[in-house]
Amino acid sequence: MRGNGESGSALVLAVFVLALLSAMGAALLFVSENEMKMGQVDLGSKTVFYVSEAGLEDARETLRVTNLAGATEALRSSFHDELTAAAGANGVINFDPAALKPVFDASGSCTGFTGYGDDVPLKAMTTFGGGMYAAFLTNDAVDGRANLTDSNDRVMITAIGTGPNHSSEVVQAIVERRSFPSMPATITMIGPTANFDGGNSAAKNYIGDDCPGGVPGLAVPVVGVIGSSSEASAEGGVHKPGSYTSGGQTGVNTVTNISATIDPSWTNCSYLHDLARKVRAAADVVGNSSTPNGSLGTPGAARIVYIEGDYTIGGGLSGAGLLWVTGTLTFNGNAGWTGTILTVGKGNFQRSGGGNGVISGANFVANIAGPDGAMWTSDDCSGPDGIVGNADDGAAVATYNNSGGGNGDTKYCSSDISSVQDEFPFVLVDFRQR
Amino acid sequence: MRRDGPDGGFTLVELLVSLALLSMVLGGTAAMMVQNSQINRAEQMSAEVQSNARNCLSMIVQVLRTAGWDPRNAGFAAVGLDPSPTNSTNYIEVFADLNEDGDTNDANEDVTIRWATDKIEWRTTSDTTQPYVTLADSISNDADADGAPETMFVADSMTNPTKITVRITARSPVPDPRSGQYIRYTVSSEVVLRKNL
Repeated sequence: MRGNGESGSALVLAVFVLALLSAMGAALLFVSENEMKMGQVDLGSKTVFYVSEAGLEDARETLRVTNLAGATEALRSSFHDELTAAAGANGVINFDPAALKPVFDASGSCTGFTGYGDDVPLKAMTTFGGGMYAAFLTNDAVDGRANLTDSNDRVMITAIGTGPNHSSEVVQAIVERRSFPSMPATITMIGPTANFDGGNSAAKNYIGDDCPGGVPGLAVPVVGVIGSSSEASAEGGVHKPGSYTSGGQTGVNTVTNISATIDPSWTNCSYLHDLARKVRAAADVVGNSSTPNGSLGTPGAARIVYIEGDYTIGGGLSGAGLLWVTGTLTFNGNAGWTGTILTVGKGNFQRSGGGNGVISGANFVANIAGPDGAMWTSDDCSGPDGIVGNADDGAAVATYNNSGGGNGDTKYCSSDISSVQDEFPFVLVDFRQR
Repeated sequence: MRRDGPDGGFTLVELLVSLALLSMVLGGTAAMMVQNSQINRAEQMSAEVQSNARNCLSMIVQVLRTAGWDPRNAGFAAVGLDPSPTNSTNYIEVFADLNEDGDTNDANEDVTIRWATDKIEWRTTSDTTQPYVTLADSISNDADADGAPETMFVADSMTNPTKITVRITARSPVPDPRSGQYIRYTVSSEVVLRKNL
């Protein structure tokens, strides 16, 4: 109760100011909540997309592993058995990407998916990152989605992902079984006037016939080059014709212009760049000239190795796996290799000194680094003139010099090639967010 | 002179003092209200600017993710890049065979997205006689406010792009009433062209 002389309006003013501050606070709260909701919507849409993409990647790897586990080469060399398994009990692919939908319960949790008949999912419903995904296998559009016969090593994977607030996303990808085009020769040299020197020792052999355990009857050129002038140039490096054999051919006849038969990817400079990125990304070892030889794979434990710059393999190393060197690759002494050697970049392979090491698999040499000899610079793929945009763009002269002595053979072996290449993920040819 | 008795009122001085005090309090309150209103307006503009930029980026990213979808192996490019990306109408053309018929001639299969003087617009058909449709207004693409817009689509390679960086700067339609400066909000996203991975 107020006393005499204490009249005033403090309470009114206090209430007024409080109301004002409350209004201000409420306005700021509204704005903050608005921003938070925007952020949540943004996060939700990103989450559900990446959940679905995770499903796609999981399915891609599952498909590779399943295909690789095929009991016979016939099963491993096509997707027919995987498509048949996906078709389910009725033997027909019922899956329709447009009909694929998630099913949510009352609480908003995903309980399954509909729209695929009795097809067997390539990846059954899987919990991931606050959502769920599943993935389904069909044939690609060229073969026809429901066709169980795969003619082109390509299939389509459709993955659906779910996230918060009943959100869902469907992504699709066409994947291709092979990661690498087939190796067309024991030694493939891209570019004009291949600088090949097989050496003067008759004790070492160059063999284009596939090895035991490979494809029966398969014979590839010992030296495969691009264009007739390059063929003539490479033939000049055949000093001991009797050492060269392939499918009944000997000597310079095993040096062949493979322009018409080589997979065009191998002569595409951009493709080789992309392939280098993939190999680097998938490599067990990414190194340089200082990387010890001991870090390379061995026949019992093959490795994918990517070396930036020059590299020397010496001593008696028996390496195995896939080796990519962007600079000059030098083999010394008894060093050998089982698998694939890609000297792509500077495109310079040197083997010197006497030695008995065998190279079994395939060699691929391409000079795409441009005049500076360094990969990943602006003159890459510029051809001999070093200027991008002129007619000579592409690979320049590649060098394969095996002029040293010794009796180390160089032979083609498809099983040694594929043993490592099978470790690469299937190629994601196309991608779509529906 | 103060009157005696219980019904005494206020003197003139008391009235003047109380009025002065009340004026000060109300003046302060009014200033707070004005400031409150300005903050509210600025925050709302900020929210709108952010929303504008994010929504626009989201739509563009979704289109880019599907770039090069070529289930019939027709062999078209995934994107067509602006040969002069620093010009006043930076654009990108995105191709995808969505209906899987072997071409990109149908609706939404050939999408050209461009920035043109304070807005982003797109044309979702290969028919170049068709007009562009506005995707978002108030896009200055001038994050540093130097008057020169930055490039919206930056590819890692002009000849063989594998990654496109999309950078959008939205600007409030009017300046922030407190600072007199425009509110800018920049969002960006690096979109890997998921083709031949």
